[in-house]
Amino acid sequence: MLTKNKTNLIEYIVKIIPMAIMMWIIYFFTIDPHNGLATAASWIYGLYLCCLYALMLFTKRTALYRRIFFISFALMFFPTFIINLIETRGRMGLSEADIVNTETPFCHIVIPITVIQAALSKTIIFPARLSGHYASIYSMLTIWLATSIVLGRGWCSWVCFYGGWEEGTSRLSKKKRLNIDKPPEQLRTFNYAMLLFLVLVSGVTVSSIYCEWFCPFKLVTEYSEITDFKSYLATIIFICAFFGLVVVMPFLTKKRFQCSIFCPFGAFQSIVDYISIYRVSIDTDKCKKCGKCISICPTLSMTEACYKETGHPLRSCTKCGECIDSCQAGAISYDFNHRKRARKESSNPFMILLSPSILLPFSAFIFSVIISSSFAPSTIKLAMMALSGGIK
Amino acid sequence: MFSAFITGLSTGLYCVTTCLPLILPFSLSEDRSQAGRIRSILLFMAGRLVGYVTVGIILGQLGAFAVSYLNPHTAIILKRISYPVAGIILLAAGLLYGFPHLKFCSVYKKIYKPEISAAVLGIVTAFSLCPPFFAAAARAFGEQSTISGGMYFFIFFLGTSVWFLPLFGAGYLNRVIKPLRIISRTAMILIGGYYLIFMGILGSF
Repeated sequence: MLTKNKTNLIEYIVKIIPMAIMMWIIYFFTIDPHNGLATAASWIYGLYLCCLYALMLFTKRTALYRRIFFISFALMFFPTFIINLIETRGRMGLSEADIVNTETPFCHIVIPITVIQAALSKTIIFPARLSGHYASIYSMLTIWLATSIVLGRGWCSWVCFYGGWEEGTSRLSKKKRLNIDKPPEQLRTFNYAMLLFLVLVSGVTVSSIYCEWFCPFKLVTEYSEITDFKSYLATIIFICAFFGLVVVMPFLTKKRFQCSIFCPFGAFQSIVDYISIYRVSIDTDKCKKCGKCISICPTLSMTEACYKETGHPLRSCTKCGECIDSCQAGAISYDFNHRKRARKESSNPFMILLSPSILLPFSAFIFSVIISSSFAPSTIKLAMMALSGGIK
Repeated sequence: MFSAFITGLSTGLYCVTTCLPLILPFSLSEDRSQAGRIRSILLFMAGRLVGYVTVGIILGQLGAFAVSYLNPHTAIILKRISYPVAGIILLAAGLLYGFPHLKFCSVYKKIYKPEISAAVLGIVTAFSLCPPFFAAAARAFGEQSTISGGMYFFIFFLGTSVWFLPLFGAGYLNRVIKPLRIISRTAMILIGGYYLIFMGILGSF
């Protein structure tokens, strides 16, 4: 029998394997070796990612370091995205001509609306290019499909470049000013209703009405040019939606309000989650029923029934790991999907590599690296240029 | 008449897409038995039938005179009327089912009849002119007779109705997916609000 200290040491050594693989993946996707300032920026970002993954892996505080990554990920997305827009079409505003010329970047939030409509009517209702564009329909669908099979709703805590805004604003306040830990069913299921509404009505109007009227992130991405009363009204709705759902409500409730209540893509991912590889499990025997997980869950995915009866959070769980980090009884862990009982950790230190608690953050972080590397180094480069006075 | 059925069958998917936002949440949100739910769908279909046959008879009777008024401009006017009407019905029913404790709901409950609402929704969708409708109208005009025109639209209705058959399984879905009733009620409010405000009021600008 190995002593505990020896087991821990072997575990540390064994964990070097996923760390080394991750470093290679980060190098492959992030480092730009050919361009002076861009190379420096990509190395800074690559090292940042390596540090975060190492901390996740060796401290077992996955949620904390994922959160740091997630917030920085969202903040770094927007400058590069907006500059890309300005470079490709000359402005941030979206004109009728841009829509006709399909110059609209395809965003993952409209995937369910577009995919369901395409299946029903053989029509793609979003004015984006199928391929050959920096945010084309095919490229986004490929990333979405691969991520969904592995992570399901985990997309919303590891890959989504919007979620970090709410993650950040929900952490600004130390105490909850509005308690929605046990919301009424109408509120908990509101995003499913949004999904149903958007899919059905978009079929009638043959357009993505979510983008036309309801997207809370228009304010920080692209907006319709104000040309008449309708576009003026839409702009007011966009501003209210951003500040209401992404800033004020997360600040008051300490929950990712937009993600858990409003986002139709989140609802769609909850449905897709049935086919994903991983989920979170609760050992109902170990659980002390303290309810801390209900309070800490940012997406309202924990209920009393979860730890008393089912042994799993709701399908809306984004696998962020907050409940795992906060559970003092150690009753919550990452697990494989559709397993009936909570998984028992193996005493063999080498088997840890096959444990979902290593595999899920590893595979999720790979997607995070791939998505964020396409714009985060550019944002760092911009920041470096700004600091050195290079931006005019 | 066979061509009427084929026209309905081939364009029926479009009809279903147009009608689904109205009838699907409506039938899923009801607290009724499977028989009651089926009755609502049948009444919705009966409403569509009444609308279609009426147009068919008018076209067959008035011929070229009616056709001259049946153009995209008429379609826009009819939509401006039909969307807000459908929106109000859905919004009111959604609020009644979802928030029965509201004061408005206690008043509305006394006059609300799901069967009548379903039938009115059916008539409204029949009159919101769509491309398949125009295709059928052009043929009905060619019949040059009241009975033939009405008959043409009746058969056309049967053709489109094939696509509505899966709706009768809504009750089963409700049993399998427990929160579906609550979701449908909320969706009904959202759809009603959108039809009333965005497609109805703002659509008039």
